[in-house]
Amino acid sequence: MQGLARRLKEGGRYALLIAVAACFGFPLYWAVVLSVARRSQVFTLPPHLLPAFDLHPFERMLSAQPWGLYFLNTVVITSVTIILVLVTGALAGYALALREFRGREVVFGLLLAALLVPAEATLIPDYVIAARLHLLNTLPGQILPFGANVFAIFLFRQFFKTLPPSLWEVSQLDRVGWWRYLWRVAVPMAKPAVVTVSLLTFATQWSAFQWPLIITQGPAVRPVEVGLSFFQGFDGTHWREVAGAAIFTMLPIIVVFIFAQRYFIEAVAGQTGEK
Amino acid sequence: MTAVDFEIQRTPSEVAARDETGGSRRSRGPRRSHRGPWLRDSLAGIGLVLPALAILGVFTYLPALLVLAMSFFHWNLAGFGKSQFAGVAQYKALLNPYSGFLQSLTVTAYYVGVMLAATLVLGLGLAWLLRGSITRRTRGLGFFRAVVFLPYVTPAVATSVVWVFIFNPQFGLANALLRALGLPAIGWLESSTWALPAVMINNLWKQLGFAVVLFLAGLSRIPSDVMEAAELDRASPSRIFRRIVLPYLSPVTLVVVIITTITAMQTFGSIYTLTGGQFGGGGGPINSTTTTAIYLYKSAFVDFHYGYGAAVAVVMFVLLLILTLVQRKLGERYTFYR
Repeated sequence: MQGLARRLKEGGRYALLIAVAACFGFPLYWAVVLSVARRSQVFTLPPHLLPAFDLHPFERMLSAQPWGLYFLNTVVITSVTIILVLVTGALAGYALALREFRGREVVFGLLLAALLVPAEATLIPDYVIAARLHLLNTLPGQILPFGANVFAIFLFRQFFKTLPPSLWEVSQLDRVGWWRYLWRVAVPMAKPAVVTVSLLTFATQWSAFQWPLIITQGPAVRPVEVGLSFFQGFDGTHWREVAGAAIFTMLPIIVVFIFAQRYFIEAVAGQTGEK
Repeated sequence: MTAVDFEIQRTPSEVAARDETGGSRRSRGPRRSHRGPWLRDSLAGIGLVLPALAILGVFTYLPALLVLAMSFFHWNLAGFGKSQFAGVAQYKALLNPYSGFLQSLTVTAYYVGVMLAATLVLGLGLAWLLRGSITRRTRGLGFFRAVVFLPYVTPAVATSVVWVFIFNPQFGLANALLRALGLPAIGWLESSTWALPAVMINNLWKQLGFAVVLFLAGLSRIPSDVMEAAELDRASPSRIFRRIVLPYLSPVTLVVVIITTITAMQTFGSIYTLTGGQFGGGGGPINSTTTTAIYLYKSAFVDFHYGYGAAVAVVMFVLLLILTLVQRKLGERYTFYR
C-alpha cells in the first residue's frame, strides 16, 4: 500500500511539473505557431494551437527590414564587448589579486562604489557624454560604456588569488614574465571566470535595449532588439511577421542556453554571491 | 610530487638560507613573488587597473556626479554655461501632483509590491517542486528547471512582443482562456486597470526562474540528515517547512527580496513594448504603467527636459542606493568579493 501511495505522489508531482513546464514554455511555443501560421488561422476564435508551417510570413518579415544588418551590428557589439570586459577584467583582477601597489585599497573602494551606481542614475549624463565624445549613433557608443564590469574584475581577482604559487615559480624557472604568465597561465586556469563573464555579457548585450534605443537613429548601427521594437511599432498588426522576427532575434540566446545551460544558470546565480 | 608538497618538506633553515641567496622570491606566495622595483611596480599596478577605471570613470563616476549637478539646472544640450540655473525648482515640481512623478511612485510601489509577494510565494513553491533528492532521483528534473529558467535569459523586447498578442482583447489567448472558464473578457493592455497586471504576468513569467534558482541553491544547503531525522520523527510537512526549511532559507530569501525589488524598479523594456512605448514614450492608458523608470525615460528622451529627468534620476539613485546598501549589509556573509 505504501508503494502505491508513493507512486501516486510521484505521479502527482510529475503532473504538476508538466503543467508548470507547459505554462513557462507556452509563450515561446505560441510565437513559433504564430510565425508559421496561415493567414486564415491568426485572427480566429478559438485560436489555432498547432503550427501550420507556412513560411511566407518569414519571407515577408525578412524582406521588410534590414535584419542582416541589425544582426551584424548586434554580433559586433556583443563580441567586442565580451573581449573588452574580459581584458579589462583580467588585467584589473590580476593587479588586485597578485600585485602590491600604492593605491590598491583606493582602487578597491572605487570599484565597490561603482556597484552602487544604478543605470538609471547615469542614463541622462551618459547620453550627454556620448554626445560630447561623438559616440551617438555609432557602434563604439554601444560598446564602450559596457567595456568594464566590476563583477568581472572581482571574479577574476577571486580566481587569481586561488592559483597555487608553484605555478608562478615554475613559470619563472621557464623565464616567463608576468605578462605572459597572466595570459598563458593565469587566464586559462581561470576558465570558469572567463565562461561566466562571457555568458553574462553575451546575454545582457544581446538583449540590450534602452541605451541603443536612446543613442541610435537610423538603421545603420541599430541592434536587433531596437529593430524589433520599431518593426512592432510599424507592423504590429502583422502578428505572424512580428512573431517570426521575435523568434529570429532570440534564437542565438536560446541556442547558447541549450548548449551551456548549466554554466548559464551558475553564472546568473553566482552573480549574487549565492552559489 | 607537486611543487607545493616539496615546499612543505623543506626545513625552516633551508628556506632561510634560500632567502639570503635571493631565492626567496620564488618560495613565497604569489603576491610577493610578483614584486619588482617599487616605482615600476606601482606604475604597473595602476596601469593594469587603468583601462577598467577609465571606462568606469567616463561612464559611471563622472555621470553619477553630473546627474546631481544637472538636476539643479534647466539643462540643455549646449552645456552648463548655456543652461539656466533652476535651484531646487525641479525637485519642487516633482512634488507637484500634476507632474505625474508622485503617480509614478505609486505605480512603482504597486508593481514592486505585487511582484515581490508573487515572486516569493511562486518562486519558493516552484523551487520546492523542482528540488532534487539524494534518495529518490526524479527523471527529467534538469529539463523542467531549464524550461522555467529559459525565459529569464531571453530578451525582454522579443518576449514582450509575443505577450502583446496574448493580451490582445479580441483574439488573444488570455481572453480565450477567460472565456473558456466562463469569465468575462478583459481589456488588458487597453485598460487602465489591467495594463499593469498584464505587465506583472509577463515579467513573473520572465523573471521567476531567477528566484527559483536562488531558492534551489538555498534548499540544497539544508543538510540531508536534518531532513531525514525530521521525517523519521514523522514531523508533519508543514512543521518541517516552518521549522527547518524556512529558517535555512532566510538568508536566500533576503537576497531574493532585495534583488526582486531592484529589478522591478528598473524594469523598462517589457513595459515599453507592452504599453505602446513605440508610439511615444509608453506608460499605458492614463499612465497606468508609468513606473518611475518609464517616467525618467519620458522626461528626458521624449519631452527633452534633461534637467528635470536628472532630478527624477537622483531620486531613483537614492532609493536604489538604500536598497543596494541594505543588500550588501545583509548579504555580507555570502558575497564573494571580501
